[in-house]
Amino acid sequence: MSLSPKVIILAAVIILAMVFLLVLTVASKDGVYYLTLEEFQAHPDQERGVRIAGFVLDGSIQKEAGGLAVSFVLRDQPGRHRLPVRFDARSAGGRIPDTFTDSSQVVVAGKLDPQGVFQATQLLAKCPSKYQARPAPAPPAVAQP
Amino acid sequence: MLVLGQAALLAALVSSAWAFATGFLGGFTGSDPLTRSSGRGLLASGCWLALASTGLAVALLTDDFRLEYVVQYSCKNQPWVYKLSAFWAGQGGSLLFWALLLAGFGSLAVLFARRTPADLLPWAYSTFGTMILFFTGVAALVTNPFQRLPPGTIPPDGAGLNPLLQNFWMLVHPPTLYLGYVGCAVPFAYALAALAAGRLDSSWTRAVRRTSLWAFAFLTLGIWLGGYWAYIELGWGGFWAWDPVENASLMPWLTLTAFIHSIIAQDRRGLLKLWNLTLVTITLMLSIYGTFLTRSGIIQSVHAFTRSSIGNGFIGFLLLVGLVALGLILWRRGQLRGEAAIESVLSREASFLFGDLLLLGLALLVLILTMWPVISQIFSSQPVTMEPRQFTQVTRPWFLLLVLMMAVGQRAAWRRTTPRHLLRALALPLAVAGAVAGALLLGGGRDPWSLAFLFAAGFVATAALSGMIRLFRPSTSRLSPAPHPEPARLQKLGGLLSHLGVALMVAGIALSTGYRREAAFEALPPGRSVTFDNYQITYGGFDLVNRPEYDGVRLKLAVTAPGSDQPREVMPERRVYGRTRQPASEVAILTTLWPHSVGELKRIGEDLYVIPVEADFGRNTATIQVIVHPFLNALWFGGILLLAGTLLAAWPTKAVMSVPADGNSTAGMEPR
Repeated sequence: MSLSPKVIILAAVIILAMVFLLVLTVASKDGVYYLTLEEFQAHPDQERGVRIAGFVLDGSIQKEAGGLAVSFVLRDQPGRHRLPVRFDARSAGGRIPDTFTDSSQVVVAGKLDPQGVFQATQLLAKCPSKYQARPAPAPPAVAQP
Repeated sequence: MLVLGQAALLAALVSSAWAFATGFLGGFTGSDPLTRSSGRGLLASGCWLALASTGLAVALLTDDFRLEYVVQYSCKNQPWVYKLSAFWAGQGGSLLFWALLLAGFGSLAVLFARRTPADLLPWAYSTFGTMILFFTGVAALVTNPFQRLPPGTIPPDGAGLNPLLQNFWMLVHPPTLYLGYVGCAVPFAYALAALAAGRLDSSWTRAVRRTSLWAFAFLTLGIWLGGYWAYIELGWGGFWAWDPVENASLMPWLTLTAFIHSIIAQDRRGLLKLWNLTLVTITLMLSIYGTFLTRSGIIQSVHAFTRSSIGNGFIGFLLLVGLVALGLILWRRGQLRGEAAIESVLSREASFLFGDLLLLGLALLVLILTMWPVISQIFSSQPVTMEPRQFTQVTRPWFLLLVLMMAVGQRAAWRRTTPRHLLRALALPLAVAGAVAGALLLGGGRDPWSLAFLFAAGFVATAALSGMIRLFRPSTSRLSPAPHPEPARLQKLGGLLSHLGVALMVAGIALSTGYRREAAFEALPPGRSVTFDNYQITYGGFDLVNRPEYDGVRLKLAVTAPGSDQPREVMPERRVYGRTRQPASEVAILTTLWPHSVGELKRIGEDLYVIPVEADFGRNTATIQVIVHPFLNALWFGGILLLAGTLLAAWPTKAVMSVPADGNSTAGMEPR
């Protein structure tokens, strides 16, 4: 297939611009580290935001402001590591997922505040352990963009 | 029935292997009996897999808790439709479902074989056989849904299906999406057959045109249903979150979109042959990858990627598909030259090429960002994930360019157009687009991306509408006539309708995300009225609801929409389901399809979305979150138009209808 030089140049410009924008984005410090609780506690002074996967410690959920904010303790699977977390739907945007209950598996994104509380800007919850097998090819049962 | 199902699964394994082997040999020797035997092998696989599926369905419907699969995804007091939908709720069942659909498509290919060039058949059968063999193999040997629990450990009841999935939308969403995914296998099978047989004219693209459109329709509907379900059921007020599972369905949709457009160039001018083969191969690979991503449970934790029990098999199969296609393409590279040249940047064929490039590029960008947690480990000790914001940031300019291209491509002539002619053809769409964006600007809309996308949407919508008018009212034009006869009018109309649908969707997404407003109201006492964005919301206490499946609290809210004097009842619910005490919110949505007064014209298609957060039993108070989504319903409606247009373009036409010599349609209207 022969192409006119203009077509080739325009195509090349599109490709290069795509790559450039991609590199610009991934190289920015916006991406967040995805850590286990143990990895996070080894280096809690992360500059960029982090995402931590863990479980809700049974009985640790304390809802405030009519259920618009929540404090709880995040634990890892063996329960050796623990971290106090707070999420406020009013300031963070979004809401507390329905699937966020005792022992549910959660992912929190945010930063540690000076008091040692992890201020989450995102709270994602998987279905409780009863449903560990993923139930359907669908957006997961999480409640936040 | 269990034994029968298990045996049928193994029989399907044998017959699909037979279809593969005889098809392969038949292709090599050109032997008709071997090819026919391969076809019978495919039909047999279809029957065996149907039998195996019946076995699993019966086990689910009769609460046969001897099967681990039934225990995991079903329970006794589940309504029968949800018992049945547990079929595709787990890994083993959904792989069986994939194999069943694949064998179904393969059987259809055998039944409609007379319409296909004979030399393509053995290779297509052989490809179907291989794919069925793989999926049946994984279902039978790795994650067998007929796996029994050891005697003595059989529980009296199962765990049940997640209540979030127990609704109409989740009933139809997975099978629809699967039909789309598996449908991509059909054009791929014929593409490989065309390469193997060395028949690289437009015979294979013609053979798969309608199937590809059907696959596209199912994939579109599947994604639409998923977004709608997320919006009305998950209750976070959004429809798309750049979640890996969502991305998995978007990527093949993008490349399939490119494919169904660019085969037109092969059909009409013998161009873009290499592109079409590449696109269809990548589409199939992305469909398989999508199934894998959904099925392997790596959703939240990409750490688990390679740990999945089916991971290695899938990666191996993907590699096989890619390498075979690549090898055949290299072998036949001499025949893949276009039969003509792309002469000008301003031509229909060049616009298809740029469209292919943008769509494939977007799919790759989404893939890279989705896989970033894995990719980033190459140079970072810790995996880095990409936030939804970053997905939007990287893809947004290219989506904008793509939408603008939709109108340009629709009006550019084949071979070449002069800038003056193109500008003249696009003058009206440009004027309307400018007016629409100007109106938003005057109305106080300052978000540059929303303005740009609204401009693009107005551009495409006007171009599509004027195209439809011209389709039925031919006029003379100064542009050169088309080098080939125009395809049927119905197909063109379908393409234009799809474009109109996409324009509406773009406008709905741009306005609802750009001008979304939200607020939270804490501990409202009964009788309290609050005002938000001119909606007046009065809380009137709550009712308790008791149903066999759940207990709930129903908040009673009276909402008066802006410009209206009639309050409407809005009743969101907090529910707790079954034995597992799984909580779920039922959001309430007040849709304003048509504004109540002229001053509130901007409320067309707007949603007021009310999330119940908490009800305090002691004080009778309620906490709610509310979100206003302007123009969001254009997204749902546009999706339906896109679907209708696709089906219209895929509609069987007995013969190509003669379209009056319509000069303008050179600038015209392809089914896109």
